[in-house]
Amino acid sequence: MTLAAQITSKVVPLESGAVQGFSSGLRVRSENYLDETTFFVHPEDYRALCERLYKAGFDFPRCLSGSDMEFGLRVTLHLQSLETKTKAIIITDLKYAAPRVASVSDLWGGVEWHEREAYDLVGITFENHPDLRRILLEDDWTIHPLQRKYNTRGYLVSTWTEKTFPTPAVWEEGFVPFSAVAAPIAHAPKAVAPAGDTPATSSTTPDSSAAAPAGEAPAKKQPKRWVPKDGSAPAAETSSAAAPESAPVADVGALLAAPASASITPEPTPAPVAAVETSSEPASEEPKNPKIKRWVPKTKEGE
Amino acid sequence: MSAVLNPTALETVEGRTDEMLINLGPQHPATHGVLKVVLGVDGERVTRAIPHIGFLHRNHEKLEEVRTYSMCIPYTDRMDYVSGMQNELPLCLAVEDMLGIEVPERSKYIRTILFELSRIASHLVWIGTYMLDLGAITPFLYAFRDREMILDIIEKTAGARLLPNYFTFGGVRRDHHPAMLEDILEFLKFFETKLPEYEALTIDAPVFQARTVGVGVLDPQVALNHGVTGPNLRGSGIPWDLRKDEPYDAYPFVDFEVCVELGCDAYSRSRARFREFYESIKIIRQAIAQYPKVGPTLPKLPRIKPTAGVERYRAAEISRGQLGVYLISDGTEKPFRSKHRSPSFCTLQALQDMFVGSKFSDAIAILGSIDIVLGEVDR
Repeated sequence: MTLAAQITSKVVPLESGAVQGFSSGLRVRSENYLDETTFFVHPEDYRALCERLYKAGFDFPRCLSGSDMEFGLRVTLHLQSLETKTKAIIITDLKYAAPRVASVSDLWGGVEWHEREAYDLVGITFENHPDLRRILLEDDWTIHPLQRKYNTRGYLVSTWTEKTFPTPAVWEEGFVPFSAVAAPIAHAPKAVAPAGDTPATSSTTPDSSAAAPAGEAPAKKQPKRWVPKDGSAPAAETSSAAAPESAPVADVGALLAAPASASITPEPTPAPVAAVETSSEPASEEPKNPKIKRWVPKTKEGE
Repeated sequence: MSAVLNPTALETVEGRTDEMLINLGPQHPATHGVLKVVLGVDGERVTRAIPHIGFLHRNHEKLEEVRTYSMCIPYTDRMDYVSGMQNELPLCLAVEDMLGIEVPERSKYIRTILFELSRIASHLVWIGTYMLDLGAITPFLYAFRDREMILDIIEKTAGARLLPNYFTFGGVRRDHHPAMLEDILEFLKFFETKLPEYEALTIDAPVFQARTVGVGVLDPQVALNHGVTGPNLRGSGIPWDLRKDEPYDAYPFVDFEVCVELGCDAYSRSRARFREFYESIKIIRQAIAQYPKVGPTLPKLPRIKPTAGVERYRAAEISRGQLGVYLISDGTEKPFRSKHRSPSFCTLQALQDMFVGSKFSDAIAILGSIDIVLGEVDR
């Protein structure tokens, strides 16, 4: 891929040392693509990762999008740091059965309406959101029209079938993104994959590693994103993102020490899990107004 | 927000008498479209402001799912109809990134020139309608007279005045009108002589300053945290401009200044926006001087069919701030998901912080100073 050559922006993705610092102890897989660093995170660790990035100086919320991936719902949060202009993307996939994730609107006020929009159009519930109402549609709508099972007229598409959830590596039990040997953070739990199994030759120039990291066989097996069409996507191997042995620990310190309250001290216990399942009371899915009889979408042949 | 929604929290406000709720909009002409703001008013003071949006919602994002990438471009025109041409660029940039398309040099310059020309047209609409909000009718007539000249130039080249559908993946759709550059230079020559007059008539006028200085203060931290971008952010003293920080098209090759004002109030935002007239003129003149006379406007394009699973977010600095497009591809000609991050939508989230505590009569002055377009808020 020669795409990276065309990017005229001066922004570079995060270095592997910094990525390790953010994802230690959390169920996170990360990769660099062009000028951005993407974190695939388990929904229970979404909030914890966001807090770390916020403390490390990612102070500008670029965008938050909800999207229906046909195997589940996805939240994509784009962040940027004003000081270093570094970009980060946080992606978390939710199953249709539990489309709930913790709200981060108290960290960035700018995502508050984006979360409302994702609730309105896609149907993702953000827990502890201060004001989770519909924003673009009327309050008495019953469907979330950006879900793929509805066509553009709001009817159910009869041919629509739910794909199997691809169970990415971040969902697996005991997943850790970096092998215990390479990880400089002492509190990271032990790796499941045997360390040193794959030749960890990941390049230190991050943008060139966007499409093809220097490692040959394992890097090719791993797809760039989870393919939404076929259900049999990733099974991304756990240690494929392994950092070089001489992980630049100093970079973590430098990046984290720069902004005001910068110290990310990884907790001894693996991450404060934002209690997704056991939240107090999730906002009701569809606001019901008994007074108003409203048009209800009928099940009909989709176009 | 929770303290705002809960009226009992207002009991502690000192000197509180009685709160009255007033609907500003949706059919109020000063809301620049159909925006409804529920204002809580205690005497002359605004105690809360809750925006209600969505009156103009068309759900482009759903419609774009069943249309090809090229068919999505006209929809982006209709988001911010005041500067339609600028809206097409983020989508083009994102698709070019996904496919690895190299834009020819000449198209880069055409895009940059028209992008800045649209910025002048958009800011002219702003200064005209803002002065109308503040009670002055004459600047509106001047602004629209000059804007008409820009629209004529755009019409000659693109074929349409407001919704041109001219930028495309890899460049521009067709070559520009042979006389476009001369027309632009002629317009700039005329406009430059008028600009000091407009400045004296609008932002340097004592009445204008009396209405705007110290009104609607937006703290820089709050602005950044709420995702406010563009002249509104730069009016709060944060020098962030994507044209400078992540330059696209021909912006790396031109020299200009990022207009920052430190006052954080409605006057600073207006001044930051007005200074962009001068910077845009500077950019257009440089771009025309460097413009390569020959060369293709479009490269050999692959099929607009990005690889499955590739996704990209790109933003461009339009007149109102950062307009971003987030695309996910599933390997077909149609975007699996396309989300538009519109600057006015994000700016409206900070409306609460600007309104509360100000005088009721200043509400319109604040609303006009942030320069929103409701077609873009509601999408």
